[in-house]
Amino acid sequence: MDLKAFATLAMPVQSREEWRLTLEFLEGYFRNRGIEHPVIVEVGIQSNLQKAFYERFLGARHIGVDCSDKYSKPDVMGDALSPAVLQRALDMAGGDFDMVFLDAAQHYPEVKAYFDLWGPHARHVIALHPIYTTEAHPDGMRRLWRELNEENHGSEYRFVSFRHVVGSDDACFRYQYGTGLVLKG
Amino acid sequence: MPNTKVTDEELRAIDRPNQNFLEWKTFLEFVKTYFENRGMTHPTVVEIGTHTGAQKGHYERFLGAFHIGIDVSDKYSKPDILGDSHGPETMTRLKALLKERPIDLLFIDAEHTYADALAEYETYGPLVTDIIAFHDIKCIAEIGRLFSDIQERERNNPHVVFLTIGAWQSGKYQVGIGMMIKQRNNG
Repeated sequence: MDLKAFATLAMPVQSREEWRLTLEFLEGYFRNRGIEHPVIVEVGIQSNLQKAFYERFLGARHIGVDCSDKYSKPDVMGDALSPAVLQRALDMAGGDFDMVFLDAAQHYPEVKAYFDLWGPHARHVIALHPIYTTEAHPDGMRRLWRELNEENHGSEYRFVSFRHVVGSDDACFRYQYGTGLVLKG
Repeated sequence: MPNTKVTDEELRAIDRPNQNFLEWKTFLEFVKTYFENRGMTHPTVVEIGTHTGAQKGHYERFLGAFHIGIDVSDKYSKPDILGDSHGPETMTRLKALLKERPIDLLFIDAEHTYADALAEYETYGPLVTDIIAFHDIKCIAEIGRLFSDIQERERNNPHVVFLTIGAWQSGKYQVGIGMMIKQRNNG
């Protein structure tokens, strides 16, 4: 990955340090499995700035899903809890995805529903963001990440997390992001 | 940096370290990419607590690393430095082998007590430029607590990212590798 080029792209709502390492991890992961052009679906794209990173650094085919086109134009617009929206994304991909990045709702029932609906269609990676939010934020991703880690899935899953400690003495503004990767195989 | 991919076949072709296989594979995949992206073709790796010494072959095969193993015992393998990691003579011997090179990756896996691992972190950490890894952060509570405390201690360091790797095996959540990544040479 060209680290100089990384610095030139507009950042999504992510910790820059965490996002760089996450992409580096995924680069090695897909390369080792001979996946040159992974199909990556992002659920909750907001300004859709991740797309350029996936395309440039992972050679990915990126499909953005969002319920709104207020900030950017998603490839699939609609409620991501709808099986019809999932099917449209599957049709675009021509089958299951290599990776699903979940970053839409933050409350537990919705987060769990997204995971249960989209997760089975990820062949390799399910990413959750943000998993290290503070008590002041909704705990959906944080709770799901903890539950997945605590439940015995045998060798089905591996868990990788990235945590950039945002420098602040105020606990409400620490650990605002955090990316969790559930790896299959 | 060797072209050898971190695959199951390649990993099984050499001695297997005392590690959860999936965690170890994930760890190697990541550090290989990290060093490649920074042009570090022969990173210097120091391992404290080598046990059977099997990790050395992996670091050399997959990373092209210059590896220095430290252990208090030569019962299971012959470490590069035989001695107590807390002893000043061990540091003297390490510096002689390093020849003023920094440590690119430090892997702490010796005495699994809070005090011992903290002392190793504080003694050897200042020599490390990029990655400090702790083994057994999930299965040994004291090491897990130390890793959490270090995250809290480093909260005002904007360049540091903490990475954890975990996997289930044989009904247990083991063993857990925690990494503190200092991220230099980001372009």
